[in-house]
Amino acid sequence: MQRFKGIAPYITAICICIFVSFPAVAQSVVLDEAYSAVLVRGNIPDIIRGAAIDVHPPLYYLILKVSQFFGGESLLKYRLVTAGGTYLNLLLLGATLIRKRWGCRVSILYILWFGLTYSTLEKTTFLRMYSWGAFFVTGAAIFLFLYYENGKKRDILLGAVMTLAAMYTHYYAVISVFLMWVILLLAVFLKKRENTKIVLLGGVLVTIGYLPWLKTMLAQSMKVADNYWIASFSWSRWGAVPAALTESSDAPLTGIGAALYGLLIMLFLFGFLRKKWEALLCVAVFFGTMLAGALFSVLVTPIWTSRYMYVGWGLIALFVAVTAGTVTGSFSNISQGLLVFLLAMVGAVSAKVMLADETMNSDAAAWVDFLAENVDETARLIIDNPSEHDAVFKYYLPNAVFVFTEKLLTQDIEDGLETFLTENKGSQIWYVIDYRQQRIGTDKIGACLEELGYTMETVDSFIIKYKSLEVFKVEEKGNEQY
Amino acid sequence: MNNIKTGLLLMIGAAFFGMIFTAVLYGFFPQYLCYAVYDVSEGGFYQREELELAPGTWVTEYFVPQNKYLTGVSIGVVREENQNVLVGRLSDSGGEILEERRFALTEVDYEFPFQRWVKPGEQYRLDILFPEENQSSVTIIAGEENMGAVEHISSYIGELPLENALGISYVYGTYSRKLLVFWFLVFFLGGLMAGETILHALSRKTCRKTE
Repeated sequence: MQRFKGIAPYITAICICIFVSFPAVAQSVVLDEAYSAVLVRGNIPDIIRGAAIDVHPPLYYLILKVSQFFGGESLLKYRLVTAGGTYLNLLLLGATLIRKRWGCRVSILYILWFGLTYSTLEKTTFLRMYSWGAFFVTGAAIFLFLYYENGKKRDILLGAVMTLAAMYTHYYAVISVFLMWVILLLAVFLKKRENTKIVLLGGVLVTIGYLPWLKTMLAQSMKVADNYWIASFSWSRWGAVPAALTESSDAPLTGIGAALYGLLIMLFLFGFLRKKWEALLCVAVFFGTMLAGALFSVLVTPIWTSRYMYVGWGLIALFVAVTAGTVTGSFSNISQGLLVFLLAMVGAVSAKVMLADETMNSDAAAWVDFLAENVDETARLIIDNPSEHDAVFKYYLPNAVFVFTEKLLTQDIEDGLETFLTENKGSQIWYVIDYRQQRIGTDKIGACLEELGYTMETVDSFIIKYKSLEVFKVEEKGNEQY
Repeated sequence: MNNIKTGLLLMIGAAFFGMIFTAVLYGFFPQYLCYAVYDVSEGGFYQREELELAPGTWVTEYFVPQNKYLTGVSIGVVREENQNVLVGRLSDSGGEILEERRFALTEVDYEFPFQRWVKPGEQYRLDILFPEENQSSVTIIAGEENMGAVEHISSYIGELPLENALGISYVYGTYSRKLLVFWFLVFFLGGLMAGETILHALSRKTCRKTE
């Protein structure tokens, strides 16, 4: 029985790892994912420069790049490498470190909460840095906590490594780990003063380790302060973040998220009444990160979006697990069993939502096949979509040439189009419209092409995530082959 | 025996707590019984038209909802970073105003979050008002009359019939009574933990007294 207890968290973690991996087969690539995949086609200095031009640190892209050395570009591989953050989180942190420190119950509750909520299912295989960010932030929190408890230098060293990795992964992670170090410094100063020097030294080492990126971070902050795509800040959305993270980041708050938010509030109350200080500290770091994001958004420029807070989702999972899992009493089995049952329900709902989502439920596979079978590698495409979406098309067709209708519109449309058609005579030309974010419409471009002596024939249509595409073949009159 | 008695009392108390709160939720907060999957009904325009609304004008959309719970109505508006506000007024076929919601163009979603039960098959009226106090005009999206959402019946700009359909998406919450069970379990768990916490505090108090 004792032996089973030891392996139960590993069995749970492995099952959850398999569960969260099923969206890895998805072939729809949304804009942010396409940005990651296209960026890592460059060499390492290019990736670092590219990340510096954008608004995120480079570590995640470098992880993808390393995976690219083994067998080139593959969407499935990228998705599984991204999922590596969640695997490590569940196996190394959940089933190993958390089990050793807090026991099996806490370990299993951590794994279930973290793994079964929808945001993990959504972000585990999503080609962005969130799963790795969550791993590094939670890892830093656990190692720093272990150092506070045991005073082992190995723990603070690992904590510092995790901290640096988190800081090179996401800027919300920078806020989280900063708060952790401040809390640790205060705690050792008040209770274990003999360790203050080590903590200060650790902090200095982390700062030195981050110096190479500090200048870039400041430049990125200024760039963001000048202009950032995120819409204005709303306190109601901000307040709903813990609920939003249990659901799809695309949908408004629903019953499941609200119920789990209610559960979190109740657990917070019980944690307070039962003096589960380590659990409450997790909430403090999560909430402090939220607050910092909100203050920056209100005082400087909106940088608030709920999915960024996913980097702290492991802290919330740890808070839930420690609060509910460390209760010992005659009836604790019932409440813990009920929580496990509730989380199983959450997992079932998460799976159902994911299966209905366009990530899984789209024509992406047919779209990929269509491109492979019909579109020349060096084809010319006129795209009716915002031009910032070029990464999506670049991802699917790395060597094709794109022109966006909204760019054509900035010139005299017919001149722009005429020049494009003249320059690309003899090449295969396609027109692709995304009906969800079109800029000109088929009638207008059709009329212009007609006037210039071209025809436009519809070939096929596809729904991929966030896009409803129709593909037309453009040919000179008299040369139609399709 | 005493332990079983306490356990039973704890369960009954937690069940009572759960039932009361679930009933309150069912009666007063139906929006939290919406299931996570949404049914969004929208048009698919081949050719977008842009309609400029000056402050003080309005457009009206007559529509027939297809599902029971209308989470919101999302409007196609050209995004601008200004403080202009759009007001959405939902009325039933008898002209009674059911809900009024507003959003500013600075917000993330251009949606009137009505969050209310509607009768599928019955006609409703949505007035989209662009109040006088706005500083500049706003551009809304329309398209071919026959390409609007299935809910669309007719649209008017002011009093004049509009030849286009407005770019409107109807967002429905898929209502599920199963969520009542989920909520009940959450409240039941809360009640159970509250009871355990009280018992824990009482036993500590007793221990201290004995000491």
